[in-house]
Amino acid sequence: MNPNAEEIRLADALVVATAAVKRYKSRRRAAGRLLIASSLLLAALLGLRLRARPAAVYVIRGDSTGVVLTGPGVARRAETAPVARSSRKGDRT
Amino acid sequence: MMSSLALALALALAPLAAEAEGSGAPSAASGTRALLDEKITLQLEKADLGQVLERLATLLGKTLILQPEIEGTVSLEVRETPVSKVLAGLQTSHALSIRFEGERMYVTKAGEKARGAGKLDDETLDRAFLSDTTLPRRPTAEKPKPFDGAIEFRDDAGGSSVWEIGAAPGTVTLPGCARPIPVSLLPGDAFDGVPRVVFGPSRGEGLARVVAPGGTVRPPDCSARFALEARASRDGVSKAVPVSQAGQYQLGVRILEAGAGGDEVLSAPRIQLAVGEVGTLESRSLRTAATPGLALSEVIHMNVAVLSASDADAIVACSVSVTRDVEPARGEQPVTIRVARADESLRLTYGKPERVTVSPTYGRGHSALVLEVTVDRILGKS
Repeated sequence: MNPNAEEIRLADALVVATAAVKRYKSRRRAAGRLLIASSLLLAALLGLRLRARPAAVYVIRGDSTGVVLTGPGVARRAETAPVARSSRKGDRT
Repeated sequence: MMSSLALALALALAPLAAEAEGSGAPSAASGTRALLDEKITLQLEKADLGQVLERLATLLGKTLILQPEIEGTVSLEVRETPVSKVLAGLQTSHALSIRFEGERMYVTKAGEKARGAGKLDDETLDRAFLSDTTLPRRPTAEKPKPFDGAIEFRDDAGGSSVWEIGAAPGTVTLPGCARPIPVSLLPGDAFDGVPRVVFGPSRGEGLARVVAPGGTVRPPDCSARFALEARASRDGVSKAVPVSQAGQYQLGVRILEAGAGGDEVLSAPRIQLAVGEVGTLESRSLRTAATPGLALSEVIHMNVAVLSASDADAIVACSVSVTRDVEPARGEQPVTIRVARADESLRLTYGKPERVTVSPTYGRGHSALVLEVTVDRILGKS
């Protein structure tokens, strides 16, 4: 019987255990990296979504009959006086 | 055409020329800056410059105070452009100077000195109104006759139909229209008694048209455009078919003169109205004339109707006129001048006051005449 058999058996177990610890640490780092990357990605996506939210757009349409303003919380139309009428600077119509 | 080109060029090239907030609370200033960055789409074809400026001021939460000599039209198509850029373009194309002071947006001709902060006294205002020959006038002693006739609708093809329209809401059937058109009548003002026909509100933008005789309208669901004329007689004409609606509302109006010194409340009338019913509000102030024993009045006359209502808001149509008696010279017969008129329809959220600038030139560049309108539902009544 090999007098170093006991040492060899112990050394093999140590190598296996060290390898297992290395694998565990490597996987934990990978999982951590994945977690951070996915968190960053989620934050970026949320940020983009907030930026992409449709901005409030106001619209002013008008012609010789009047002018309309529409937008968030506002809708109103002012009439312009008929053309046949003499112009009146004081009038808003 | 040249003006449109200039405006398009100015929008493309002009730097932000609209002056920043001159004064006012910091929060108000930052609020204005934020709103100046808001995107706006404009589709304008020969639209009245004063009205476009007034809509822009409304969007910015400001009251427009306009120099009376400023007039013109705007033709422009832009999409989602910052308000500041639109204002800068208008400044360049129409040779204007736009500046903000507190809650006011002052617009003067470029290069002209801004009007002073103080209000004009009655005598100076009278002289200004008398010398402005574009303002309609009549002898004060001649009172207008109330309108008691019918409205003729004439289409482009020469077709015509005449309808008796009452203050209560109804419908008229017009050629070329897919369905009966909802209409009502706002009676004439204190100056000339000329009524307004209210169309709608339309299903699209939900607003009404308030059209004076002499004007044209193409109601929704109609292929034809109609010119409106007032007829003195109702003999043999069709009557608008009444439409019944339920709901009772209270309308509060604060009539304000808005100037550099703040808002001066001229009066604050209130009225209760059923849906479709027309109400009249009047504010009258008296001042003494140079001729002893003669009193001159200024009358703000408003016809108003709640056209339709939902759980959150109501569509209101109003026609406002401001008349002022002026004595041309001591001992001469006074004349009544209509210094302002506005026809407007707007959506009002219950309990939330909205400002309507009836006349941005009221104080000849020093102040504007503003109505602050609030509508409330009266629950339990229908």
